Amino acid sequence: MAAPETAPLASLGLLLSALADSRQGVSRIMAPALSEDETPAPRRPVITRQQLLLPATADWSGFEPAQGALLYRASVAHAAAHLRYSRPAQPVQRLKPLTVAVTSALEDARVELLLVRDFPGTRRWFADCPQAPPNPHGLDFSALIARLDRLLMTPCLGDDNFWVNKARSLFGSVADLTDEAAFRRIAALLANDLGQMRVPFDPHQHLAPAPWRDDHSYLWQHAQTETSATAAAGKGAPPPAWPSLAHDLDARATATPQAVMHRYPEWDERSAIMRTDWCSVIEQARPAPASPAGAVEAPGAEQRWLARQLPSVHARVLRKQREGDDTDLDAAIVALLDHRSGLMPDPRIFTRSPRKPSPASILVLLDLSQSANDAASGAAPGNGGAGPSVLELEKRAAVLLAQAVGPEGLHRLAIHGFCSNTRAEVRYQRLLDFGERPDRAALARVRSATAQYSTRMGAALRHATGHLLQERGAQRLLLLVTDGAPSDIDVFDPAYLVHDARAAVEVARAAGIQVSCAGLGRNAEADLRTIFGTMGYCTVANPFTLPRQLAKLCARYIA
Amino acid sequence: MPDRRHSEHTAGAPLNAVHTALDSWRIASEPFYQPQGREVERFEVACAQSIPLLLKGVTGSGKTRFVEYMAWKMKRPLVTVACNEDTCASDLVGRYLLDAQGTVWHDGPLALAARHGAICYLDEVMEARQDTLVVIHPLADTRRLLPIERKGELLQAHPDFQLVVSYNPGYQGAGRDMKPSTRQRFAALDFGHPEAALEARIVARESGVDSLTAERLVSIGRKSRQLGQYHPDEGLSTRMLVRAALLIQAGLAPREACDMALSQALGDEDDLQQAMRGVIDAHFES
Repeated sequence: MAAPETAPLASLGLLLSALADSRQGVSRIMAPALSEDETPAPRRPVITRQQLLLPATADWSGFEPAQGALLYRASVAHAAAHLRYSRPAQPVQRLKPLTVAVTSALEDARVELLLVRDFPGTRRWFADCPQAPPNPHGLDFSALIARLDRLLMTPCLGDDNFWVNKARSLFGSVADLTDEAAFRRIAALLANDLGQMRVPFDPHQHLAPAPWRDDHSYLWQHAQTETSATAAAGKGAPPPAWPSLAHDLDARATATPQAVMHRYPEWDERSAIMRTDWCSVIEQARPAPASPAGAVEAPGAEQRWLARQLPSVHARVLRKQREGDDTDLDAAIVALLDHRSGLMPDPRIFTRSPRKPSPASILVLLDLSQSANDAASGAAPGNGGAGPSVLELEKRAAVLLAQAVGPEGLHRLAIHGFCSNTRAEVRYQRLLDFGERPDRAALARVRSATAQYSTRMGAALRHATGHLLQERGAQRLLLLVTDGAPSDIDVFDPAYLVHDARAAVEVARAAGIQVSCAGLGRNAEADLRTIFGTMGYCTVANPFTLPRQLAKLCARYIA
Repeated sequence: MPDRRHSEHTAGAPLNAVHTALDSWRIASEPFYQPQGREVERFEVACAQSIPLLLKGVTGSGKTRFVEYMAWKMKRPLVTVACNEDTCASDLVGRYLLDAQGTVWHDGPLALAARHGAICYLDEVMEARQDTLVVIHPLADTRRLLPIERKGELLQAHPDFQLVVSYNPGYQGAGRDMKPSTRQRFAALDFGHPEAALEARIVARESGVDSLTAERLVSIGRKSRQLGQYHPDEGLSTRMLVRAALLIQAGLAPREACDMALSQALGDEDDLQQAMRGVIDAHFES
């Protein structure tokens, strides 16, 4: 069984959305609990409306490494059953914890039966999943529930406890499995019995006995504020599953409600050591886009010009060539006809097919640091110094490029931005994702990005490399758009971050990603040359020509 | 003799078919077609008015079967052309070929259909280049003429001639769009995936499986189309579901048949294949 960090989250997420008929987000693994809020690590899957959160295997009580795949599948099926048939967030009101627990247990069994009725193949999924057999003589609450579960799944086994048998016969007496009210009445009855029997019950320690069942937070809404686990759910983007690539890019994701944090190493040139876990890159949740200013621009001449610069997919067969791979039939026939008629035949009778470009993934990384708020140098004179800022030009260039690539283009484009405020807070924003349509909302989000703080290039480059490594194209290009050398307020040696960025670029290139830079203004040229190599960057003297320079860089690197 | 590589005839007749009657292009027996809406009536009315038709729909949604059915119903021959990027104008109109006596003109499928009054069906017309498609402009408007410059002939289309083209709107890459001057010569019919009950009936009728298995297969198909939204492909077509049903009817276990026919149909990505296998497993017990 693969380690949890490389569990097949994507395929499980797809399976969940297929079974649940909803646009369910991808399931993700919850990391061990953060130390901030002292809540214990969750030991059962947590279902939310957007995601299914699976606990880390160390915490998942009942997890057996050899059978992990079966358990994942059963968890997905159970979550799908709840999403299809359960009503979420029922108010607890004045129900006693014991009643809540019994209702949840019956609800689990009910939805699983409904799922098996609609998808008969899932019966084996639950049956094959390994589970510790219940203590046949146990009389505490968990044991009784476990015995009831086993009896409901395999009635032939039988049980000798009065309460368990009563529960089973009441459960079976409800004719219609979709009648939720009847099941709640039964649950109230049974909980009353348990209360009178004085069965010990600890609501904080109780877990559903079957390890694939959830923690029931989906079903109930408590009057007080939600626990951190449910608060974490439904907000923020799920962290991508990182491929492990050499020792440099080892990153562990820890999640907070609005953001996802990744740790990256940093290279110290003077000491020649790689400081592990030195920087924290915080990938923020999407900012809400500002209202789009003005009308949407129709694709103007500039977009069309840009689109022509990018290698396109429709490489036409060139006909009537003097030499080539294949015969141009029409031209050959005309040549023979001419020959027979006594005229001079035209020798251009071949066809040649130019090489088709393969799809590329381009990540444009914008430097959103404070220096980008300055007016662009090289602005048209006589403007009174009130020309557009570097930030505006960067955003405009990125938007133009996105429109030129187009939603159905051959290539995939993403626009990300970064800034940093010491090494503990490198902010990273995904303004436009791969495969996302550059429509009004997305472009408005790009246009509404703001600039602040400093430029810690190396950490941002490493994070962007991780994103690009998930792309499957044959060609991957990372384009950095910056207006100066890397710097940060907690670093005093100016060469330190330059060498760190250079190390990050080397690692990315070794992984097969092309890295290039468009530097605005001439002041950082020497540093950019150190980072990207002599041929790996271009200086944009007039920032108004940035879109064309970006397109040229794309065309240069993409075959 | 018409150029064999351009026309597909369904009846399997000998190659030296009689030119004028186009008998080998006639559909002999009724093909099964389940109407989804009023497309049969609309086609007949458009044919009566000699308006060319554009069929838009995902792959495997019944476009070709529909045209075959209408050709059988209206008792006209059907000439099909599968267009691709290399299709040029002379592939459609015709060319001179050389034999021992000299040069002899051979009609392309379009000229053949126009001359003798058949339905000419251009499949995946968007794959062909735009300047190739311009050759059908004179046939597709009120003139109904086909100028053949090489031969010096102005061919007036037979009154029974009908032009039908089809394409898959989600399939094309950038820049692949019909020119407005071409697009505005056609009336359109939309083909989508049929709704669940109809699709189950189609699958059951085409393959012979019982209706419960057909319903399960249709449910798998619908789930795959939901998954297909996360992926450039579209999800399973009705054709693939019928194939799976045929395998089941022939004796394979349902899971095995679906694994063969369905799980690789969504592409080679590991995640999608795993998810599809999970969906298939959930629907069938064995």
